[in-house]
Amino acid sequence: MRTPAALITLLAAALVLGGCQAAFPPAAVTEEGLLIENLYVFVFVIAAVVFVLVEGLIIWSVIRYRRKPTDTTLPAQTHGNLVLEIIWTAIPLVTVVGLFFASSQVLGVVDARKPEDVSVKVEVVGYQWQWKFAYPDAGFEIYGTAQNYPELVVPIDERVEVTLVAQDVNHGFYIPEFLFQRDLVPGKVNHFEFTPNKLGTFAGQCSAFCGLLHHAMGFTVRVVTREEYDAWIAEMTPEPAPSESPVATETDLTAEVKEWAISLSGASTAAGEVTFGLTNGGKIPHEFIVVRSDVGGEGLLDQIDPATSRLDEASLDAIGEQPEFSPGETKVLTLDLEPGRYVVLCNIAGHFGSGMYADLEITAN
Amino acid sequence: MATTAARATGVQGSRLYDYLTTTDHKKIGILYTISSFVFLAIGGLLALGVRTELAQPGLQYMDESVYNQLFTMHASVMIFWVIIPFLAGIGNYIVPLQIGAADMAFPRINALSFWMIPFSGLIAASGFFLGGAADAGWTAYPPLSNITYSPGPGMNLWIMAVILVGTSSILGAVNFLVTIFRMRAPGMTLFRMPIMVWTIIVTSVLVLMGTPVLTSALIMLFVDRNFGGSFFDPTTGGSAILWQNIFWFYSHPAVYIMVLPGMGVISEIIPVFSRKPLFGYKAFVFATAGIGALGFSVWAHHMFTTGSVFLPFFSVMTFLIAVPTGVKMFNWIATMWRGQISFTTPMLFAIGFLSMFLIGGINGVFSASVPVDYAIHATYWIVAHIHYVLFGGSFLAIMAGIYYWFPKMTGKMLDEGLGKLHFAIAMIGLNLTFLPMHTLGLMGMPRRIADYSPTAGWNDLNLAATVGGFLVGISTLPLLWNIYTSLRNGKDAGPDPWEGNTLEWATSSPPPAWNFDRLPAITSERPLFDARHGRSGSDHA
Ligand code: HEM
Ligand SMILES: [Cu+2]
Ligand SMILES: [Cu+2]
Repeated sequence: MRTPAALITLLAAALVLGGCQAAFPPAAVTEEGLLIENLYVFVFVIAAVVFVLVEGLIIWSVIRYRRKPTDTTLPAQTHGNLVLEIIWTAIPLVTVVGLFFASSQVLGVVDARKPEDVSVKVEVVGYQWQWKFAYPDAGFEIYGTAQNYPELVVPIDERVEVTLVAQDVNHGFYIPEFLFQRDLVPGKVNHFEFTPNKLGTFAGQCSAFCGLLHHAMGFTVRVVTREEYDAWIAEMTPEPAPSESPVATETDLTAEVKEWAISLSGASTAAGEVTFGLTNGGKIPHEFIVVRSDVGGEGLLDQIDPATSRLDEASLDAIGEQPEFSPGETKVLTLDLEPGRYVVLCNIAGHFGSGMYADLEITAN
Repeated sequence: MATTAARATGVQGSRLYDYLTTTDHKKIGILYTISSFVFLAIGGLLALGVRTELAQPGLQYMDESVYNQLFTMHASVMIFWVIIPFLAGIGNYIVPLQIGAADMAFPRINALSFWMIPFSGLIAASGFFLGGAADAGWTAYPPLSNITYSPGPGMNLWIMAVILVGTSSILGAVNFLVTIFRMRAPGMTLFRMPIMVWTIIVTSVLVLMGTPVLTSALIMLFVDRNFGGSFFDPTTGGSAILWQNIFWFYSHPAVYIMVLPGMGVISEIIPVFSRKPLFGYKAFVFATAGIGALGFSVWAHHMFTTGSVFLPFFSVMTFLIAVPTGVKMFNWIATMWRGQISFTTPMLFAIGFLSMFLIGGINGVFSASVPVDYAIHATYWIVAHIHYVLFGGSFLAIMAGIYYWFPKMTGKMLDEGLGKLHFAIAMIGLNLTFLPMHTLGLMGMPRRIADYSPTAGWNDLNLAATVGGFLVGISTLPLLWNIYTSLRNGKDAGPDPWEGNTLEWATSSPPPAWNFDRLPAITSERPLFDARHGRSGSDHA
């Protein structure tokens, strides 16, 4: 009798201890995450009490009231009890209302927007199937690949604002140790703010199913000290290019790129040196590629590779390009163009197909 | 059907023809059940494919494209071609009998509703052979489900198939409502109807209000994909969030569509094997109606992380819907309390339902708390939740119902030993598969991923879940063997093997085509109990 009882107690203790590990989220590394962690524990305790109570009642009644050979007459035929019904409606009601208020308080903090307190702004762009992290204040961008996940670097104890933009389909920006995720939804810009309070590198991953390589949309977040952060920013910031002097350049054509169109100031111009004045008037980065093509933009639409939602650039006769540039930026692109039919386009996944192209005719002088 | 046909060797052709052309609600109910078992095998194999690939990190057996088809089709098949038709089939067989009617109100429409199910299932599955089945998840969120990102034929086939299932459900719902409101036997007042029948009423109302909305969303998606529409395409003025709103407006109530009739089944079984009336009959009716009503005000709890939801409203409604569910739980326990419980296989599955659905209810409340949902949404926690509700809830209830009514449907008893073996393996497998998924979710494993990093620390729990999944698969073997042998040489059931309460036990097993030769007097919700023990046995406390 003794040993089995001791064994069962031991087993139960092991289960409870092991279970404890397994039943809780990782330790939070942001101020907001900490609140969520505490809320989780609060919900968990209530849930555990309810579970033990109800499961206990089920097991107890099943064991205690099993039919015995001596049960020859019917048990008492009780049909119900109004007082009991009211009690077991009221208790759950009070419990869930309490949970709701506790949750609302945490939600108020987690979802708060405090632009005046924000010291670092980052823009996260999700696309099939990776991420781009942009630091608009410093003017650089980091592109991830499936082999080389991008890293978001933020300073500890400072409020960070994240802007979330989806370039093609839904994605989810999820960092388990933040106990937080928010979706990136095409056609909509989402935000959240957080204050990291632990140094270290934390893994993140896309949480909203986004197609073929959804599982490869990983990234990391590295929380560093302010000094390390400043050093990192300085190292990442590109040298200001001397050619980008604000001296007005003579342009032959101006082009505005945005979601989801490219508007050219003219449909044709004379052959020779052609200078494009480019503006990104949209909300996300775009590129500007000049392609020689006899079928025109409409004709090229048929050649989009459905797997990548892009044109295969190897098969294009691209004359020159302005690589991705950020919203609000202006660029100048000068190319030597022979007479013929051309298409200007943005070949970021999904953008061309969404309408980012324009036809251009180069005429002989 | 294979087994029934095999039994009638000489007249095989005619027996088959009979089932193909039948409008008898009982035969249609059996057809639904058989079709659901076939699709269960398909959906189960798809799940095992998913679990096999996830057993260890790395892509060993398939590429991402195949994986995405497998998990999309697993979920779709289980929801649209297993759970919903199983319940429709049980309802078809049992509801007319329980209200003392001779058939459903519209027998031909009933046959049409059924035949749409296997037909649509084949349409959806044919994608596998036509260049790829649907692979955008059973939730088919645009823009991913748009033609740009899902160019294959699978998505179009899936849309057409789900529209057909929806139409079948709508026709069935009308049929149930008319049958229940117009064809009850004399004395069968509304508040003497079995709870099973009440849950079918509420379910049918949910179907009538929700399914047409899903159908319109599917048509809009189809137009977007094939005819240049832009309902859901943000690049041309549509809204991706709009789809999520419309989809969940149906698909959240659909969870109740899949669980309420299961609760009805449980509410039939527990009183019979506790030898007591259902505790709080009226509370049950009101709780069922309450779940139905609240069910339409919680859809956006699937969208808490989109940043496009008025959070307080949907959070509080989601919390509130736990209350009527809790009321039912207490009433079931009170029914067993001071009863005389016998552990037949149907009762075991009913008890399994109580204890597993409890987990599905409790882990759902975590998601109702918006900040907690930010942590667990779209992770394996949610996969655990889905399965404790749909598998631990709906599916165990369906199994309870099959064991309970098999004697009525066939005239033969199922073997108790094999039934208990099925139950034991299924319970172990269920928990071994889905309990670890809570932890995986908390650790950060997102759902719908084909692969994970070997250093993420998820290896052991994934292996455990895969072993559990295979146990669940194995657990169905005793069931199939049981059905096969019992049909051949099972014990004869007689009209009322369980000492039942409700009218279906007042006729022979299986019942004649016209259902009843004679009906007992109906003066309470337990006419057969009254006939057995006299009205005095059930004095109201
Ligand atoms: C009647 C029983 C079942 C029903 C109704 C059911 C239903 C579902 C549903 C609705 C999903 C959601 C898919 C999604 O993420 O969109 C799902 C996913 C899943 N199911 Fe089941 N299921 C059942 C049985 C099983 C079994 C027995 C297993 C294990 C072998 C299993 C393994 C999985 C897995 C691993 C996923 C997640 C796939 C992923 O996210 O990549 N299911 N199931
Ligand atoms: Cu993604
Ligand atoms: Cu672009």
